[in-house]
Amino acid sequence: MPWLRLTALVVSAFTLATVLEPALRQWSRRKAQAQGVLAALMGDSRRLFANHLFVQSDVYLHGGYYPSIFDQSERPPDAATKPAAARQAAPRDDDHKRKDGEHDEHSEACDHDFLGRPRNWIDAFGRNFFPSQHTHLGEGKAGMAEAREILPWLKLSAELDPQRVETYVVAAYWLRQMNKETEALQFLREGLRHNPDSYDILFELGLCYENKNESALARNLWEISLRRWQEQQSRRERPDHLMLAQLLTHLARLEVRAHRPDVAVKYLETLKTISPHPEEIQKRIEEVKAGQPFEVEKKP
Amino acid sequence: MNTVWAIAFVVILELIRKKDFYVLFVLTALITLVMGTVNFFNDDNIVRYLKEICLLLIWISSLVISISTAARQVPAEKENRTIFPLLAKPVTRAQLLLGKFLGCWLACGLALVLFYVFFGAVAASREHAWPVAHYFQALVLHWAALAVIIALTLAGSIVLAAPSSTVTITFVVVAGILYLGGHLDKVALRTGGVAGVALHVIYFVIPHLELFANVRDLIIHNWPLVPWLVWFGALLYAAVYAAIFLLIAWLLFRRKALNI
Repeated sequence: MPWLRLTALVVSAFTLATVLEPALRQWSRRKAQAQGVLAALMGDSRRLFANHLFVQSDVYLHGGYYPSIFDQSERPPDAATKPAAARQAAPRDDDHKRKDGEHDEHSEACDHDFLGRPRNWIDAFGRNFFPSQHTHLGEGKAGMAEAREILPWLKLSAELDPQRVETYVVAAYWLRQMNKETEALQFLREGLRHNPDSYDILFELGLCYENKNESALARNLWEISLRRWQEQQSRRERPDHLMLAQLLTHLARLEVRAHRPDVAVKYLETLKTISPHPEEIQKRIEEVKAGQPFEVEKKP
Repeated sequence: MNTVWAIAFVVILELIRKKDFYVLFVLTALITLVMGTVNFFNDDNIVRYLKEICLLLIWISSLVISISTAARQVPAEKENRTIFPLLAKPVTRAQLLLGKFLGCWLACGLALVLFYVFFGAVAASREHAWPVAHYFQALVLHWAALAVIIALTLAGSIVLAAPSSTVTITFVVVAGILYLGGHLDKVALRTGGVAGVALHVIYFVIPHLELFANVRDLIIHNWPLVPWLVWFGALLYAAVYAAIFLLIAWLLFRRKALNI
């Protein structure tokens, strides 16, 4: 009798294994493909770590001079949540520059003096032992090459949260500043694989190709980016007009260069409807119609 | 003073014989070197993340070594009953405490020198520079902070029964000071009331160890040297706190019954 029971147990265990094994394998393969090992291991907490690493890149951009969470709670909401590395890499154009610039100056001013006056002797004494002056990487002798120090954190942040578009865009911006077009392209393609509908990444990819003098590719990418923008943003209550303006400006410029002023004017007419300074855009339209060149101000 | 040195020498020998330091050093070196092999956008000159990781590991290792070594000293002597023949000789309790403190502190200093030489070598391999004065300032400040921590742990080991509880509580206190110490006054201002006053008192009473740990950022981001006078002031600040904790330890220990 015990032999019979044992045999029945072995047979039932074997049967159960053959039933469960394919299902388990399929489930694990699907999970691994969809989210990766890190996601499987860390779950949604990886987004928190990714955010921390993204902020860490901003800490490095400022040479360690950065407000703590205790200082951040006293700052305006946007200055506290959006790192300067991202603000610097964010798209801006002529028409939005003044408005955006005002905002940036305000946020930067908050960044600069978050320490304020020393509160007591310990605070005053302690300021000798940590970076207590506002600075940016790239301002030293080494120039833009110094900004390389922020890259590991951005890379690690992207590994942890591949759906965070900002990480790819900011990293690509700094890589382009360092003349690392190939690496920027590679990283953006990786970002596009994880975020195929991101108009930001498509726009940044276009900038990389434009820098490589591959205008046709850049135009294609910007046109796709424009379509994606319209699909995702046009029906929103507060659409991302800054990005749209950037896209339209760059497309218009490419069309002027390609001697297609009519298409360029079409883009500029759209730009005029969303610009806070339509009279400036009208001037540009007239310049284009008169056959004058049209250049976008380069980002700093 | 010879008695104090003799006790200190025994403590140093004990640390050399124990495996704690070697394990922590190998772990620090291994993690740093593995992180150093990671390729970020084909750029071999990226170094600051590596300096940050290495210095963080050095701080953690030094805290583990100093607290775990100091916490064991007096309880181990009592448990092994070696404290009786020790005190039967012409050794006072103050000399015993001072010897234990000095031994732990010097042993940690030796360990720190090795850690910082390794750190310097790692940084130099990428930066091709040896800012010796910066490293000297950081090392000595680090060592001064450890003096306060060791004295605090010794005082804790007199009050608390088991070394494990001393280690745990000291770790929590030190980590709390390192993370929150510098911000307590801001929290106090926002809290207000009795709690605010209490936080303010704590802020002004605790040893601000974060001053010493913050120097890491100056090293990582290649900031200029701390003014030497300020640096010397920080050493004096640490010396005062270490002396206060040693005094407290002695006051507690001098009339404490030694039976277990």
